Amino acid sequence: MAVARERLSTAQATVQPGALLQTIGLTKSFGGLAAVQNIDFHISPGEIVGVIGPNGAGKSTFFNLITGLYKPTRGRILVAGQDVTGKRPDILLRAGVARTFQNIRLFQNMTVLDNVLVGYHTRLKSRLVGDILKLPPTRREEREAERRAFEVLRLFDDRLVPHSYELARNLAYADRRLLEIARALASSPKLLLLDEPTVGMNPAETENAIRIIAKIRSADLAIILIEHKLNVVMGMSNRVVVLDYGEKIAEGTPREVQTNEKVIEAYLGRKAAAQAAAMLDRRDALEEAGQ
Amino acid sequence: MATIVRAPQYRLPAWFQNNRRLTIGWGTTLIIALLFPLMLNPTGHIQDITGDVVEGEIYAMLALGLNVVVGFAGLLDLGYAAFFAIGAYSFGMLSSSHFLPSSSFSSPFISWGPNGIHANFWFFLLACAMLAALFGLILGAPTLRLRGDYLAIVTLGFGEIVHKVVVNLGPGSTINAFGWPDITGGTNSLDGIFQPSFGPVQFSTDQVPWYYLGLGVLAVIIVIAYSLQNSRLGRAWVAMREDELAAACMGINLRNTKLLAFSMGAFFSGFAGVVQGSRLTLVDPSQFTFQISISILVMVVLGGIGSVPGVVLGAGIIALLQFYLLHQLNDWMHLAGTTANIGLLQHIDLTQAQYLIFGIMLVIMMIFRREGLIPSSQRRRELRPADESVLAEENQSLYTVRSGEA
Repeated sequence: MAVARERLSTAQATVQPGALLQTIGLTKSFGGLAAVQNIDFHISPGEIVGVIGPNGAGKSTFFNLITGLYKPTRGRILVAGQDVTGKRPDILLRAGVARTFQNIRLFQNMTVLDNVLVGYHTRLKSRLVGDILKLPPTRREEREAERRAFEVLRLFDDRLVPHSYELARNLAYADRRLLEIARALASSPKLLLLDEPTVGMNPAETENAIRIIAKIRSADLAIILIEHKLNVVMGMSNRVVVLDYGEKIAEGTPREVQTNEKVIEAYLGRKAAAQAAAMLDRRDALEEAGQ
Repeated sequence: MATIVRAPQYRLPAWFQNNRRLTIGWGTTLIIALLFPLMLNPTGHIQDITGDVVEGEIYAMLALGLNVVVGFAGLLDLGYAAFFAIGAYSFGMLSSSHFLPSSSFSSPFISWGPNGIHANFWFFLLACAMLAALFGLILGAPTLRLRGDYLAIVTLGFGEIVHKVVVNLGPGSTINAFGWPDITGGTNSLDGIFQPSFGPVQFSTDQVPWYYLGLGVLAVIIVIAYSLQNSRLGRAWVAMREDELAAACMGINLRNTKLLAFSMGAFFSGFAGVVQGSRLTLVDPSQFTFQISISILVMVVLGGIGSVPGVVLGAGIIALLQFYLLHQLNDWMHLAGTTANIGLLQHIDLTQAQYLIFGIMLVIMMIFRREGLIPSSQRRRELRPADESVLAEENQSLYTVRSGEA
């Protein structure tokens, strides 16, 4: 009973001014199973927030909720103060939320350039009549779009530009992951959701991806990063949120989260957590002794 | 010493090589097409042959329309003949002696009197195509949530509904008992459709003007098909076909994009319907059966799903088969039968086995050349002259050739 009351109170959490994205008491249940439960989350412009958690913790469900692929069972989603709860994915993209997918979902039989141009879709004003008659504004816009698409592709050094006219399916695995980021970036998002951008990459490719993500981060772009490679998350994120069984179990700076008992328990189990806690205590004691 | 940083040599994209081929291909086709009736003069069969070729042109229009829905947007439509019927019947009703109004009215677009209704062909060619496009939206709306097999079943149903409605709104149906007039002519067909004139040229039984009219309409449709393919909308269609979910996440409104695909597909067949109705001066339900929908689909698959030249070729092959090769083959069979005295060969009628042959062709295509005769692997790269300069420019700014400071 007490728990229920507590949840109710968090569901009425206040709207944070200045937050680019905020979720309040976000919950998604599939049948009786709550995949995401009562999550309060916020991110400000320019921030990189890592979302970690064991398999099945609800990270991808959380992304699917924010991008409108799932309708939340309860809770609210605000983008720049506007309530966008339950809106369609294309409307959320217009609001500035773009994403990549854990299992790459490129348009395989389109060229690399066209994939990026699809990302640019919402910025094009041409409609049916302009498209058919190829009116001068449409032509101009298309040229501009192409230029802009190349600009985006160039952010990825020479990984994508030389393959501009090749089909996306023919790219190397790591480059396909990069192309997904390029496609998302083309829509000039305010918030970029990266769902395991380095999964399946070798160390060199991972390093390259990290460098590129660091390059695209700017004061206007907030990034939420789901990642299993903890060194990647910890190295890049301003803040880390930890999910387990659909609930937020910890939040804080990378260092805070790393030493959080609940987090260690979630990842390693209760027994290992106890050992780890002991180790941490010993480390702290040593550090103190060293001083 | 001058240091030369070589710009990496990228393989010229395949579309560029194709672009030249394509321009030459279409140019040659157009010239041959324009001179075609003249070439027939010596054969002495100019009317028969041209008539069949016009049928081929109409097939090509239909195939190009279905290609928008099936090829570009990836939505399987098995009731496509319905839109053909809507174009033909709407024009048939508006420009024939089927209805004999008691009042009179006159305007540049449409006039009516006791002799019937006269609609301006050129204006209503567009208007009826737009009506067909509207019906495309109407069919599209309930199918938005459907995919694959289920979509095919609903479109199949729609095709049958239109066919049955056309049959049942004729004379002698139960509807007439309620005092309804005969609207579509039913199985008696709707006849007496007026034929247009263009300056001094009166369209009538002479097939040559119809041939050129068909060629003009077909050319317009081909240009529109290419424009759509290389546009914001065309990209959205392909993206939707490739991955609906990812497309939605990239800001594509799936509802509008799907509806536009159905609507544009129907638009093309509306043109075909008007031309066909006016040329034959009659429309009959048997022209719009499920078999027609399937034939059009065969043209698209045979030629290459999503490929404009492929689809036109597919239509040409089916027309050739239907109007010429099958008859020819029949004659040879009969001749062989008579010579060798084999009863079966003397009496075989291959024109009756048309759909069997289509089926066999499809099976063969699926086994040996699934992408069609003219595949569309570089489908969206064909007619874009802007690309060359952009690519050159991009390469230049990226890898500038420095001839050294020396």
